[in-house]
Amino acid sequence: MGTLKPDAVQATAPELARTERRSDGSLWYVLDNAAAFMPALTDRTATLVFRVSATLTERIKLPALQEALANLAPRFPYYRVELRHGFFWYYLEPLLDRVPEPSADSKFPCLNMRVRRRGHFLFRVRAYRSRIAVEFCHVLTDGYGALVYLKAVIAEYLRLLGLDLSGVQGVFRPDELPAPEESEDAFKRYFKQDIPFPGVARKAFHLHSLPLFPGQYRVITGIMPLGPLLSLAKTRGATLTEFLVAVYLAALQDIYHALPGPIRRTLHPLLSVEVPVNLRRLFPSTTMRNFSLYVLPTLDTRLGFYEFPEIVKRVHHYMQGEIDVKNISMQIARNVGGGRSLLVRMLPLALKGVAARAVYKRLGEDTFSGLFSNLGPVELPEPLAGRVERFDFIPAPSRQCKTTANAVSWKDRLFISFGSLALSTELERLFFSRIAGMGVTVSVESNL
Amino acid sequence: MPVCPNCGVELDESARHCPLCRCVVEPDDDEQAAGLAGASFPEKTVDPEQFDHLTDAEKRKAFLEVFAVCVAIVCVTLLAVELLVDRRISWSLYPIASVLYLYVLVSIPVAADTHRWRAAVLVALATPLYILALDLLDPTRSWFLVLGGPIVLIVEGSILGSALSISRLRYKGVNAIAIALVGAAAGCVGLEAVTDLALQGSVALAWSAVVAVTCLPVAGLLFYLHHRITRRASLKKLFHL
Repeated sequence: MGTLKPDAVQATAPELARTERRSDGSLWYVLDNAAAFMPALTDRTATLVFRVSATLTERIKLPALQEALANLAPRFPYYRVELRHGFFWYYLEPLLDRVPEPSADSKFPCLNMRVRRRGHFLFRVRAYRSRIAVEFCHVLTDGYGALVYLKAVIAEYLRLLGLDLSGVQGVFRPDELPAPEESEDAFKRYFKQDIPFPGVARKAFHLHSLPLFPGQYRVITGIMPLGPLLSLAKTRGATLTEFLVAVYLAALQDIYHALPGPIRRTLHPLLSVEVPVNLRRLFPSTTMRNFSLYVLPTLDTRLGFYEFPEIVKRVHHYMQGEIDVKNISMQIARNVGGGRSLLVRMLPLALKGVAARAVYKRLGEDTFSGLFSNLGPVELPEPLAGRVERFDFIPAPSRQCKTTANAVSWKDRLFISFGSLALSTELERLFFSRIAGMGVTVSVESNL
Repeated sequence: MPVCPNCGVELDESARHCPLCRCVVEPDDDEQAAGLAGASFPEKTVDPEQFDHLTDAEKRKAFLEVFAVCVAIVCVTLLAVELLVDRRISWSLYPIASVLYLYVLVSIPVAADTHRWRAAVLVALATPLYILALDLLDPTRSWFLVLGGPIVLIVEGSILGSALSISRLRYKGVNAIAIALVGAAAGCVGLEAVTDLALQGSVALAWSAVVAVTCLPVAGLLFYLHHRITRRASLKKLFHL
């Protein structure tokens, strides 16, 4: 797995990667390459809104949280924006006359963010008991950006409550100036012309289930000790993410084979899980916009039934091979190159939306059966770490996949949250029961 | 510090309601909120953007205001055009009466919201008034009392009578169609009688008799089917509504 050197990158950083633009003295932002077509894909349920939350050791004091958000607003100017649309493209315009305000939490998170409505931020901060949650639309950033923002909110909130943060490093502070690179489109920075595009993935199996009632989104969170899981993954020669993706695929395989034969034969035989990759690990960047792509570990059920160790082995080797600068560069070339095409640029926004929905369906949701995103271990400097009990990471609702999963680890515990629009909880049951069957204690909680 | 019983967050000392969910904060809510310690999500489904929206009543009020302004502009324009072109007011009163009648037809159901019968009665009263206004605009001829008024009353009476009868049915099936047919037949007979009296001075039923002879046996068959065979036949099922 190769990594580019930061110095070399800084020297060759193209001006094109900058998302800030100025016209007639007013500032506006271009959407990053991953987000360019996202607004056209959103509605009240499929909001593309995900959530990262931190549960503190003490009940939230609302006045301090309000002040913390107001103090932090100038530090994140690229998030203090509303979505606007021009004739050809969506763009972001600063909302300088207002600051983010905390809002009430809901039984069903991540729903009801009207992204295309004017005068609204594309993220919100929600408070419930001792929990602070940030819900970001993917138009603005990915999980990394949301986590950095949440850490900054926690730090400023606790500072206002009297915690001494002098000398603390690793969190954004309100008195710092934002670096220009934080709002850059890192995809364009690392875009290479004249390299081949990756192949188009084949369509994959999707869960069959009745939907939940409109306006509902079930979240089931499993909490388990991190140490035993790391040991289990290590004994099978895999990383924690690879191991959990294998568990996910095994659960999908069980569901697929439990279907009656006549029905099964009408379905796509591939079981694929989309695993987002934080590209900052491969391509050095400090961007706070989207900078992640994905790999697609797949099982082909036509080849027979896969035993669990076999799945772990396949996922491990696949991901080790795929998460690589050269392979990911092909995806960047396809995505950025597609946006640069004259035909795409000349299409009016309304037609771009129609085309984007078709392309996203074929290249995106059609090609994976589920999603598993691991935010990794959250790190906070010590005076802050002692005041946080847990982190949670909830995926955005997905109509096609119905059930998707996110994971985050904090201290010695792992939190895996399944977000679902499906009535059936079979995937969650199979996933957690397989882990529990390996001797790991799993406690489960749900909002429904 | 007071604690919101829904959000479970500590509020400002002076807070009387939670700024997040608008929930009223009572002095003993601290204990209530402490009782929800195990809940990982609030029980309420809160849409943070719902506070930005107009209520249904506010939306209706805004619509009526905008519609009234539009109607006023149309009326003023019509008057102004006739005054500028002909230097008098005559024909413009007809479209103005029609536009005002349209305003009544649209705004009464909007303002009445769920009170459908109230709206129906008010619209029923507005229609003869509109016909009377058209009659009064032409002083050379008077036709409301002998023709316009009775026709409106008969049409409205048959429609409202049928609707009232159907709404009172315990089991709505094909018997609803039968009632509508009887209402239509009665309306047609009434119309022909009124026009005959107004134009010829005597009643001689012709076309309405054909309508009645066609409709009433069918209505009778439907009543029979409903009461004897498919008492519980549902129109919704029949027409996949």
